[in-house]
Amino acid sequence: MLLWVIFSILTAGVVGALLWSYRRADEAAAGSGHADVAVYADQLLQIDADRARGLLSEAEAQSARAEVGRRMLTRAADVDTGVATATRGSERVLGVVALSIPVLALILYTQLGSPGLPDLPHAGRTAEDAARSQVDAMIARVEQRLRSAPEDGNGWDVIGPVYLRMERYGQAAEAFANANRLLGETPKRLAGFVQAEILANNGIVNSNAKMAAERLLALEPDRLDARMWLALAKEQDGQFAEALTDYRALIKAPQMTPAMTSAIEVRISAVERLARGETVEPPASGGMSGSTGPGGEMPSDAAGQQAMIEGMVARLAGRLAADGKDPAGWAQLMRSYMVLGRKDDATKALSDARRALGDDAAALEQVNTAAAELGVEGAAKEEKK
Amino acid sequence: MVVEIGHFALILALVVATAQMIVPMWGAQVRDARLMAVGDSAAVVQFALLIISFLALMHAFVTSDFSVLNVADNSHSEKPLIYRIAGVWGNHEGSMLLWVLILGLFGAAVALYGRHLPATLRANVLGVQASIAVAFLLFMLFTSNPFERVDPAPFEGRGLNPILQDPALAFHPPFLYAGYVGFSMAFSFAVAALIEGRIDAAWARWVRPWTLAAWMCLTLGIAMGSWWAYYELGWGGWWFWDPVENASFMPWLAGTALLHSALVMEKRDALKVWTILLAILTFSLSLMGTFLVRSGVLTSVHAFAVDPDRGIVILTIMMFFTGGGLALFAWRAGALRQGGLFAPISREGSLVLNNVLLSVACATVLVGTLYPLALEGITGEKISVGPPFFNMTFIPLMLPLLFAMPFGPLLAWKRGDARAVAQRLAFAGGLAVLVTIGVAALSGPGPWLAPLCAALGLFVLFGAITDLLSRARLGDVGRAEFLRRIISLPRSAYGTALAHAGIGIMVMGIVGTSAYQTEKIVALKPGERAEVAGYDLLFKGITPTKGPNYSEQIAEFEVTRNGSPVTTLLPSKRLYNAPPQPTTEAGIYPAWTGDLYVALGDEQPSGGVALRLYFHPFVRFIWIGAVIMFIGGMISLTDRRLRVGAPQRARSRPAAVPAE
Repeated sequence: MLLWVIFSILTAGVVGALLWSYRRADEAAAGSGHADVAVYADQLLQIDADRARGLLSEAEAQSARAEVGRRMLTRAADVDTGVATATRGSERVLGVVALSIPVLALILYTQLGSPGLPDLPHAGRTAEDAARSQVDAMIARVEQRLRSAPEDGNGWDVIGPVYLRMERYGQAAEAFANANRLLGETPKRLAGFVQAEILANNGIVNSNAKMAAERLLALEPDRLDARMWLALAKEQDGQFAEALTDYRALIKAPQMTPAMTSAIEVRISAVERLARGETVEPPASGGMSGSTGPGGEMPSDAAGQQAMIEGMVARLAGRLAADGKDPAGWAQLMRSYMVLGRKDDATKALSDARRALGDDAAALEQVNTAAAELGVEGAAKEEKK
Repeated sequence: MVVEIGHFALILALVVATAQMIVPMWGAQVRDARLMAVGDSAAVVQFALLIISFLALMHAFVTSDFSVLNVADNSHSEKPLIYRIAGVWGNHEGSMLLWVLILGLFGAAVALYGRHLPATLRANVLGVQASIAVAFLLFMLFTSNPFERVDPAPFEGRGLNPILQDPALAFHPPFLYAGYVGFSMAFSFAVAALIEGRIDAAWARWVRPWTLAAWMCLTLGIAMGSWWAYYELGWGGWWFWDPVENASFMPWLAGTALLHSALVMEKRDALKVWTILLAILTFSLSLMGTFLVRSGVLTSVHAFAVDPDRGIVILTIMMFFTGGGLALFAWRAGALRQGGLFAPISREGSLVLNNVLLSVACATVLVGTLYPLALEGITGEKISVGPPFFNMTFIPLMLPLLFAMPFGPLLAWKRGDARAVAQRLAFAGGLAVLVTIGVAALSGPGPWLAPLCAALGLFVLFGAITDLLSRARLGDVGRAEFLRRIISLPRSAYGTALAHAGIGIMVMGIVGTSAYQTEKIVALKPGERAEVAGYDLLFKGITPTKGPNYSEQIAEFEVTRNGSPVTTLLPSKRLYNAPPQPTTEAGIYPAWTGDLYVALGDEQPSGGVALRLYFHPFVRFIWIGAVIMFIGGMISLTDRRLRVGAPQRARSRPAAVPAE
């Protein structure tokens, strides 16, 4: 309520200021002729002042005065119509303006604004902090129980979706895998596993995810998300023709939502270009991994997906920078960079990995092999040494 | 609530700007003083609303309100306060808000201080200024709204790109924008004059100081960007002819030309049509700079948003104002009355030469910047037009400009005497050549062009001093009279001399660092030494530390010269927490003769650390020169006298040059 009062005061102030200046406008407004004469008069005064200060000699002052005189004469030749105080109809013009300002502002604001949302300064979010720490405490309790009883399928089943929501994808995939193993596979658990596994791998559908998706499809043959993941896997394996067939079949499915349709269209055009041997811009890679599942977390638009993928890659890079003893992680990071077309970053990741793994020959070997397979620049160079 | 007030104020600003675009121009058309007067208060009100809006966004950044999408995307609660404030304009949406805020500031200045402008001119200027504001406010509200909310709000933001977390860069955008947007004033005045079909006496009196203010800010903004690139990007370059740099350099070149032609127009009532054209072109280049940088056509630190839709909208805005301005020019320029005449050898003549050279230089930079983009757009082929192109085209244009520069201020208005001026400059020229020969003999071999360019830099510097001395009639009058005269010289004379001297100093820095730089790449283990340009560096080792939002590896070097200690250098590499990204902080030891520059590279498999060692002779002169130019502009700006050039009469003896 207070917000709308403030809006009204602002608007009233604005309209008031405009009306006030209209009413107060100089009755005898000077035409441009007057203004020019004033300027020339000032210029003449200035010449005298400069002469008095010794900045101009008498001869210079003379020629400068003559110059101003010439300008005056030229100017006088221009016809200048005066300015009227007010024309007929001007009050009507102003009335329309005064009325349309609040109306337009209100229309625009209701379209664009979010009057219901309060400010949320970071410092004031203690309640949320508390809630977060409660969730953290709950997770900690479950984790502790799972450490002492790792065969507790229900514990894994509970915590898997929580991890997924918290974007801890690696742990989520592990939890879903354990739940599937201990409690038996259900479509929900399988879908959760595939989604987490793909997100944990920065959008790459690896063989684990692929097999789980196939089993999911066997359980529920008309699941769109499973078909999408499998099509994506084919695309990433370079089977462009098959991937295209699958995408085109998918897009005709009756359960399609507009968001999914447009996402698949993006994939189709990307694959068509890939099939022609063109390079595709970053959003190409695995953009769609989880978007079709129930409760899927992936943003549906291409830009959002790309931002999310880049975010995931950045997180992986950050984790590796903090703790680099993870050859598989480095291989993953290089693969992501190559898929995203960021070749320089891949090269840099390779050199960072070598530095981080410095004394671990086996791990170095793993990273170097992966780099050579991916065709990361600098991989060959290092081997020659 | 503060956020929503900011949002509403921004919307109101759009509505008010629309009124400001229509009402006063309509009033000027029907010659209605009251309708025209509405423009004044609308401009002030619009500016006030934009301030509310800007402060609301700043409040959201300072309090880390992540329910605002822009804050969540670009800020982080751990970030130091200054970067939370600078974060407001460290992203696309916020920087556009700063853009329109500065636009509003200039509009309000016309309304508040333009009382002496003819009413119709003021009304038209405010109307044109508002039309630019409307275009950008629409663009903001519908494609890049800084007040877009997220619900539920994320608990933490994504952070500001770490290489942008730097003091020089925190203030680089505001200055750059003040420059870009400042040229909108010249544009609005030019378009208003074309609409009226007449240039009022007060026109140049207004356009010149505003152009000067914009030019100063742009000079400083570009210098800050260059200074930042020098120490932050880690290879000690200060200018790369990168398209983003060129995007700001082109308006600078055109603006410099405009500044000088506006001067002719104010003092001598000449070059009117050309000045109007330059005003339109300068602002068009500023818009193009904004387009290149904001559209994502160029991928770099500046392309916050790689978003083709936004690019297309900015392109449309740019085409509308450039195309509209030029079409109006083509249609109406014939109606403008041409002004004063002058001989080829005269102050006006030298300023025309300045304009020609600067415009051509600007055109070469334009070609070098746009050609690769056009080629990629048409054929898909990627080429890069780098320093060789610009060195071959731009520098040959600058040499005659530099040579002519000291002559200009010494020539008389209307008719000059080149021989008398040459005599007065002979001492400066001779001194420049002597100093250069001395330095070249001491510094050893370098490119043959380098001593020549250095001599030109010195000539410009000494020429600026000669200008001041000869205005005070050194040698013609007694010592007491000379002192009295040099003190009472108009501030604008000091401004000119300082700005020109700044250019001279900058040229020397550029030549020194480009031609005589020493570079060494070595790998060192702790305890090992390296030598560069007479400095001995002892690598003592690397210590890890933690900053407020980053972890850091600091290397320590003990620097000695001929056995005596000089300094300790601490170059470092940082890894920021959010987003996790590494940055390099170079270790720099500044001395008058040049900078010792150490950048930390990667650790080597052999156990050492790769290091890049540089010695950049006189590199600091580049930025000192820019600061001197800025100060010169300031001093000139405080000189609020009306300026009338006293023309040299025909057949009169070539006597003293007017002091003003």
